[in-house]
Amino acid sequence: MSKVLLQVEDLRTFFFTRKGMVKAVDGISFHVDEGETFGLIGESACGKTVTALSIMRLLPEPAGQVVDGKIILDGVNLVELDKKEMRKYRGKVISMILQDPMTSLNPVFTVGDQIAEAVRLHQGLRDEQVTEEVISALKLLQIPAPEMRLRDYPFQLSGGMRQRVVGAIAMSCHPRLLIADEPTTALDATIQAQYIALFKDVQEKTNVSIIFITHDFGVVANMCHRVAVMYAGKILETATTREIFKEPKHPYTNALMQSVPRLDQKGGRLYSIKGQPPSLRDLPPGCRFFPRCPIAEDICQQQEPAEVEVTKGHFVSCWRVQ
Amino acid sequence: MLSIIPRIDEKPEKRYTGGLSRRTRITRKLTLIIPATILILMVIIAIFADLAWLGLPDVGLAPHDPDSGEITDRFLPPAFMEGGKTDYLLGTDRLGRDVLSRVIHGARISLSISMLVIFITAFIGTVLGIISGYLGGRLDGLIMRVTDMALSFPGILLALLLAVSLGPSYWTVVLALSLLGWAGYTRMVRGEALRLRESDFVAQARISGASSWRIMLKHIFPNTINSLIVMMTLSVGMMIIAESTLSYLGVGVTAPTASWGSMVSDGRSYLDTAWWMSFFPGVAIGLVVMSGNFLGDWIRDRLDPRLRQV
Amino acid sequence: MARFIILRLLFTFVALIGIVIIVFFLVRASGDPLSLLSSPNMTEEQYDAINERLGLDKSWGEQFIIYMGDLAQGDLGESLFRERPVIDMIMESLPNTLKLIVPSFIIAILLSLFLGVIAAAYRDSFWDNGVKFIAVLGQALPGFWVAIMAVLIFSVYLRWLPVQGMATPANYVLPVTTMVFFILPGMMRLVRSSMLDVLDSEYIKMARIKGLPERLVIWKHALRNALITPLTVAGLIFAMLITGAVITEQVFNWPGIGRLLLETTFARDFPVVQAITIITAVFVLGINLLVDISYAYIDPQIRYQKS
Repeated sequence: MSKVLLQVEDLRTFFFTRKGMVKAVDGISFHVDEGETFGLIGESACGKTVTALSIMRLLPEPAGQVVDGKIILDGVNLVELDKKEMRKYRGKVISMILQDPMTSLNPVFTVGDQIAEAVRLHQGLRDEQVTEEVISALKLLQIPAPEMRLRDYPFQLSGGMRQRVVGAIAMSCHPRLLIADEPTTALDATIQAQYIALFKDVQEKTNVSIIFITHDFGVVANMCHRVAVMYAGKILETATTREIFKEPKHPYTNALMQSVPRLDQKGGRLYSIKGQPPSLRDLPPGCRFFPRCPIAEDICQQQEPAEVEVTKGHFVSCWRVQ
Repeated sequence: MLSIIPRIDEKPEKRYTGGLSRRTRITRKLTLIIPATILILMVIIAIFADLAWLGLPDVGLAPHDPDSGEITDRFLPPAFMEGGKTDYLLGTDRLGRDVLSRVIHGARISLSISMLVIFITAFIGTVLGIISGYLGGRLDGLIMRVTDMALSFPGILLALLLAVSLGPSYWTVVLALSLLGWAGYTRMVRGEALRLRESDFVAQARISGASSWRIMLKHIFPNTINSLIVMMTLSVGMMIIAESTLSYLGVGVTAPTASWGSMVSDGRSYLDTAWWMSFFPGVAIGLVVMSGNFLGDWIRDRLDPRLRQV
Repeated sequence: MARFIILRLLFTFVALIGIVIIVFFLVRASGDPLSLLSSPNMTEEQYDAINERLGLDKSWGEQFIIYMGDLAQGDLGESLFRERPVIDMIMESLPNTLKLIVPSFIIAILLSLFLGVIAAAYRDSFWDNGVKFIAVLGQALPGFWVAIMAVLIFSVYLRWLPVQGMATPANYVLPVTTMVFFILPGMMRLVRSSMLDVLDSEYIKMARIKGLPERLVIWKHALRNALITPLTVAGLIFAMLITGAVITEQVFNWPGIGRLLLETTFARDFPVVQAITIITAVFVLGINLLVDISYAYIDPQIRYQKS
């Protein structure tokens, strides 16, 4: 039985804008165990990144606020921490990788400096020790000739290499939770596979828990132990990867999987889900997926479905699956 | 099993307060209304200072003739001060001329010069900018070099030179300001053109066989109008300050004509006895420029938050 | 890189010559400066004599060639009215202008860096609004008017500070403050907007993700990147300085190059006007050139691409 590392309960994050209140994340709950990779999958703007930022407490203020819910890491509710305390967690206990490797590194500092900065911040070490740590971080991400890379500037490295450096920065202080926000989306397909293998290797060596945000089921299949499907600020289905591929219960999950073109099925039109996700500013009362759902019924329009545990560990929010 | 009985929500929907306070929204509206009103008023004042253009020089908003005054009434303080007369609300200058009337007529000069120069420079700048940005290549390089130089060349020097050659006058100022003023527009429009050049609808037009000129005119130009409007509004302030500075130095619209700059210059020698001569024209300048800037900022915020600068 | 420099140098040179030509002919197109020198009682012979002595009787083309020749030797000619070499006049006034510009520039840079960074980092705070307020006022009120009002308040009414001259340190207060007032708003705006842009970027997010204190995020990570843009406007700033100097010197009767320029312009003393304009042009072009080269140098990308 794995221990639970992170527990998110009924998280709500809203954005207060000139044109109204945007309910980016509206009551989601999930947990991540130690050493496991938890996938968060969904279309663009479904709230995946906002969830990540909420956990990190890096929402753009004053517009974005966590208005409700708990984020419990090792018994501590992160929402209740003040800025100074939260900073101690960042980089050291929780870390994050952003999507675009081309812009994630500061162009005017060397690779070595940027990693060393993180190390120096969280661990009071002497200079030689710092360099050792930096090199071991680079080695962990399997960057060749790490001693040579120390003095390189970001622009001298390829996209894939830069993403590894970002990974090295993230892992340099041995965090317990790593949030990866679509880290492979901006990479070539061939590099993607390498990168995923790299992640797995890192996880094996360090037992870090990973929240892997993506919109690609292929990556999920490869990488994640468990996965949650997000839509319009809510989690519609949560299960182990196996379960979700074998028996997807929510119509949205189904539709998503069908949209992925498959090599073993030739011909026919590509399937796509009709319609658009709802505006997060004025949400209708019922299930968010209602307008696009092929099996919707009246009650779906009137009330939001409650979450039900269909089989062990498999949760679904859908009136039709009850 | 589907339950037909609707669930009663245990948690009533919390009211999440947030968003903009009423105060902020009111402030936002005011930021539009006040400057716009001031500017419109100024334009009206400028136009109706007198109706000489209709053949009625003695009728108009200005209570007195700006160019002549009663020597017996010289150096009168503003009406609200001791010794002032209600006839001359803002006081009189060394020749007994009514300061208020002169300020009113000054509006005409400053505003007309500004508008004229703005249109000229916007036109030239846009044409050059679109050509430079869209066509690129050596032409672009050349235009950009010239633009850079025009931007960093101190306009005051040019104005002085022109004043030496052509004598200080209304049109000298227009020329001086126009000769360098287009550069800002060129740089901005070029940036937009570069960006638009890569967009899909332009690619579409090219595929359909449209000529470069056609693309520039029908596709690129209309998309620069937003930024142009912002820049033109913001230029009003700069132009007025530039013109009044030149007039102050004696290089622009000089005494005895009532331009705001020349009035300040006149009043300089009498600071201890008649400070209002220099004071009020400056206030007028400040009001108009501030209004122009606020209005420009407001327009920019509405039209394109991407342009957010300050 | 070397090729880049050579091309730019060439262009600069061509531009310079162009400017000299324009200035030369513009100045002469205005009219006869002699009318200011001569009195109505002068005989034609006396007039001709002066004409010849000053070299004004030759055709413009000839005058130009002579001038270029002199210029190549570093001879800027003689003032028409004061009968002194222009160089001497310039060298006399230049230090005074520098005494005005240099302190103002330093103060303005320090202030604008500090205020601009704070305004960007603490958006919509008291500081930010204060900075915005100063910027608005600074850009709306004409410099010459503010200077005059300052004289009104501090010299005429309060009698704290002297009105003109350069004698005592007290004399410096108003002129330097005026100059700072001229350039501060523009610079502040620039730093602020540059910082705002940088603060939006991904690598700043990464810096925060690392857990760095905000102080480091702003002053170390953001500022270094933000400083790259203001470099571009070094040329603009220089132009602002010149304009500011001319006006300030006029208001306070400060014996610098700005005042010299104004006087000689009105007197149509064109050798002086020419010389000052050309020297300024040299500076402007020079600064542009330097900026271009520094850009190539500072941006590590361009620097490394050579190797």
